[in-house]
Amino acid sequence: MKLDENHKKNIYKVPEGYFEKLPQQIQARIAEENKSTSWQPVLVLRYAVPVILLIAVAIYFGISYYPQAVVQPEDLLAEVSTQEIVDYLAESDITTEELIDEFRNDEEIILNENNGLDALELDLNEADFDELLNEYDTTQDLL
Amino acid sequence: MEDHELLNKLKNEESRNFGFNLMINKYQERIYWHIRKMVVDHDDADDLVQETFIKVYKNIDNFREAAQLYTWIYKIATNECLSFLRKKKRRYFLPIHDVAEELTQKLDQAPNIDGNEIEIKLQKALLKLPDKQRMVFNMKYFDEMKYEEIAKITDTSVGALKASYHLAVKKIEDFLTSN
Repeated sequence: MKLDENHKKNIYKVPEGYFEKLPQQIQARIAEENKSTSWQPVLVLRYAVPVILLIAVAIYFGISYYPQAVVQPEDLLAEVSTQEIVDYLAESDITTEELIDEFRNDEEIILNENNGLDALELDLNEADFDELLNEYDTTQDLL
Repeated sequence: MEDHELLNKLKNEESRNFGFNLMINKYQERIYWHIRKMVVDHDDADDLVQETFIKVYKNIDNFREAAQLYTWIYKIATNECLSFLRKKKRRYFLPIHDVAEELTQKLDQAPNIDGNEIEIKLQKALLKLPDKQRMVFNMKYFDEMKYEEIAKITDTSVGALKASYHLAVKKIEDFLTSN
């Protein structure tokens, strides 16, 4: 079967008066959409502002309750005990010369060449002395 | 009123609503039938034609006057139609539902349809075509538009449109012959 002009009839129908009312309906929809977009800023003010105020108050009280103190270096140092400082210095790489320079003017500390040999004046027998030497291995330093 | 006069009224804030009313009165029937032939159901066509004109109103300032006003409106209507049919198919993701079958049933049951057996059979044959091919056929066969006009609306070359239309005619004639 070939298509021709006879098949061109429009079989679809519209309700009575549809095209007379259509422009009005479209205009009404546009007016409605314009109205809904225009009151949105007012809604935002009405609901968003109280929420923002609430958040601001919460932040203010949060900061007040948990104040952040500024820590001084002296305060941090005061928390370290004297023994901890001594232990630290014992393990550190500070040389004797550096220590001497540090305390040059301190009269309480007198360096004596024999300081390291005071132990010989103790009543130590040979075995005790050997044990002492083994405990303090000075070969590394001498070399 | 000529399109360029209509456009002047539409672009002017003071006369926009008046110009818009004139435009609807000028083009509503052509746009409505273009949509109705695609979606079959009057209520769906009514929604889509209103959406089309609302989009025209909202975007009139973006309209590039290089194209004709009618072509632009037609293009929006075409996109609304194809988009609607795509969404309808996606809504029913199960393969058992056939949108073409649903529209075919509306041809038999809908109150706003009045045609003889051959005329309804032609519409059923059209529903077997892919949506875009069906649209091209409608514009060429029923609306008697030139290929150049259809090309601007569908962003398809004239050659491709001619091929699509002739293929559609063959499919429809085969369907009518076998049914």
